[in-house]
Amino acid sequence: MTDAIVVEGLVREFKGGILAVDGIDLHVRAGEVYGFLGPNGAGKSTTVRMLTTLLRPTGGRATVAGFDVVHDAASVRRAIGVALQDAAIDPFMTGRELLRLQAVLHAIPRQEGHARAEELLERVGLTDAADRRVGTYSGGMRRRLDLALALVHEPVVLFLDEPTTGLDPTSRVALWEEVRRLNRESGTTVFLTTQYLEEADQLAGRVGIIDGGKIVAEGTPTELKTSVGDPTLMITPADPSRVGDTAEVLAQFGPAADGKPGAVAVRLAAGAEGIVQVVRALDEADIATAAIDLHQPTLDDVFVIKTGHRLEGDASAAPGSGRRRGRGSKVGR
Amino acid sequence: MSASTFSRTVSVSGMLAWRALILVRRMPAVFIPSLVMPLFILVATSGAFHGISAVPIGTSSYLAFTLPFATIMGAGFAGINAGMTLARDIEGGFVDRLISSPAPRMSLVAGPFTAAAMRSLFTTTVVMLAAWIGQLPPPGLLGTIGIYVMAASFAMATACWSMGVALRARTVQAAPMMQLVVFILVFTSVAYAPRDLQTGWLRTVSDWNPVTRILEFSRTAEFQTMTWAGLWAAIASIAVLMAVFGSFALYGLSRLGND
Repeated sequence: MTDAIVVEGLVREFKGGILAVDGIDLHVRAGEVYGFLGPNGAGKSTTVRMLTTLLRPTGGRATVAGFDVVHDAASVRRAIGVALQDAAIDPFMTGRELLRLQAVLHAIPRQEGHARAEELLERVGLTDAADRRVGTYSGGMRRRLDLALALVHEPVVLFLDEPTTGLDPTSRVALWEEVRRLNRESGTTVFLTTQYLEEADQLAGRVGIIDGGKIVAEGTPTELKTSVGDPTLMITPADPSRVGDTAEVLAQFGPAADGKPGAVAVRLAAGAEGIVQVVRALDEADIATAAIDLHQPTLDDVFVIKTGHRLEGDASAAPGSGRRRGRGSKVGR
Repeated sequence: MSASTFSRTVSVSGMLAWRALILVRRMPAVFIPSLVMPLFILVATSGAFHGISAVPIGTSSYLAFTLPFATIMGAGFAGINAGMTLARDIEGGFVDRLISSPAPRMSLVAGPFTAAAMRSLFTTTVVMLAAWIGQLPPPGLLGTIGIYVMAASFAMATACWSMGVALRARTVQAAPMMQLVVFILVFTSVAYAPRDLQTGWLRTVSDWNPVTRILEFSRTAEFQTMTWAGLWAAIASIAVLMAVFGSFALYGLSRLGND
């Protein structure tokens, strides 16, 4: 499979010696959804601005759709669609006007541009609002319009810079579905930056984690999660006096892990599937359980382990995610 | 520039000029002051300095004398607005959308530049209508064309200046800087009095100020006393302003994404 994006030693240093991107390397395969995950100020948007020719790198090189972002910027611009952070769309224009303007920017003939605008308005569900000024749109409508604008010329590579920041859960899920559909039906390569772990987990085939301008981890979500260790199983015996017996039984399934008082935790060497054997062993030892908690490693765990700190604001900023860390599956209580 | 690039630049610039003109209608709070100010200048100065028409200013009507000042000031506002709109677009991220597309970058300034010229035509028309209502007879076809051409040219020159500021400062908070240079240029020219009545440093500055020749030619157009020498002096002055301010704007454009 060919690479849609190739980045080698990319550097961006701003005046005053501020190193926003510090020699990153990455390869994004054609047709892939690549999630670029990191906190605010990690270098995500700077990387996107360089890949979309909005900012010149100060070191390294990058190609997008086979074209060098510095030496063949015009070809890159023809091949890419860009939806930048904060949906940079003119609030005084209508959705239809903006789509037609975008078609002109991409040299699409007038009639074809108008037809494409109507098709995209329909696709993102904005036909009824097409003649309203964008300033009256909700956040979700703006993001959908932004996505439509990025798709006017049917790009080979689509850059989405934090596309769901500030959206309500319904709008967020709707946008995810649109990105999935686009990738599935058109085979468009999607480079998605996000500070939401769940978004990267849900959408991306592969994820790169950037922190302090450097890529600290890269792989599929499953690979990344597996790389940080086995799932943790925490058993709370119904009879607190049997904590010792429980620990003895669990010791056969993997090394002990930190658990809360009155409970015993173990890292399951056999993975989540090992839970069945654990339950059988506890049954055979006649240990009744008050609760069984399985904690699968998450991208949050990956982030913490690779960077040494938590992805600030993820849980609070991601509307409706309702969790701070982990995908703790309550399988019994 | 190849023929296809030129054609693309014209096409995109036309679309951006159209957008700038729609925004005028949709943001009246921005447009109205730039229309009212020239009218205010026309009414206020012709009223306040009416008595000066007794001194040799080339006409017996101070209204006729001040009309080109009002049209040039209106054109200056049109140019300043081009820069303010661009600064707003940079701040809002709309410029990123334009420059991440394959559209020629030149159109980013050529569009507002064209829109500034068109806006100045509208402002000039309103000012001339107001003067006509004030009992000032129209200056004839050639004179009218002269006044319109000078206003549009000045609007384009000041649009270059204000867009240059916008491209360097990248914030609408730089608007006072855009206005400052335009005001200084206009107010240190022959806006209020002909050079013969000026003395000291003001006379020296006025002699070197390109706006002086533009205003002087506009006045001859209004008085229907145009000369080829005056026209060439005005054209040379416009060329100087365009060369300086145009280079400034193009330099700012070339720096986009490089800082």
